[in-house]
Amino acid sequence: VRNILKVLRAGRDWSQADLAERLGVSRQTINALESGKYDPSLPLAFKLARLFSLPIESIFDPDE
Amino acid sequence: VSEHHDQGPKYTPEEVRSSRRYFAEFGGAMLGYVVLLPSAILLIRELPEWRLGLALLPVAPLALALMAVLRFLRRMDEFNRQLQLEAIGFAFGGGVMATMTYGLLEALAGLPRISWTWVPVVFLSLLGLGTGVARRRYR
Repeated sequence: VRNILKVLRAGRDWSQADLAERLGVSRQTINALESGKYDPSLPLAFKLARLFSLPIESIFDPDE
Repeated sequence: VSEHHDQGPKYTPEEVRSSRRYFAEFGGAMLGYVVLLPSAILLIRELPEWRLGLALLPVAPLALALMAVLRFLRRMDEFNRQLQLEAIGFAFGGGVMATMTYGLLEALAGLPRISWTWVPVVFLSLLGLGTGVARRRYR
């Protein structure tokens, strides 16, 4: 699953650690999400969507 | 924006709190172990008839250490728990292989008998190695 988290985060001028703290996860988790090596659980994906006020499907895109 | 600023501090305050709590709980248990082990050895010398119970004295702090590890795992976020699962899987499988291999060498090839207390050393070393491997995979 691809995502645009890095772009969204840059738009808010947050560091990975800033975003991590807002979500209650670690900085390594943000790093793994952004590099596409880890797909979040549904609760974490909803948290992200709420934080950026976007629907989940505009943040995450399943690989074709 | 520099790469450093982009990442921010390595650990969030919540992670720092969680790690500190883990090191306090685990360290306390280990302190109990290093106190109880020589005590058990001395007491067995004085009261050899109680040696079975006394030899188990250092196991109590090890149980506390186990609880500290489990509590730490439960406080981790989902990604770190997955990472630990891979590391623990690696250590468990590798540990089974290593101990079985030596067991066969001992039984069939006549290699010297070694103490069971080496088993945790094998598993814990492999856990350290497995954690490094898992971290590298997700970097």
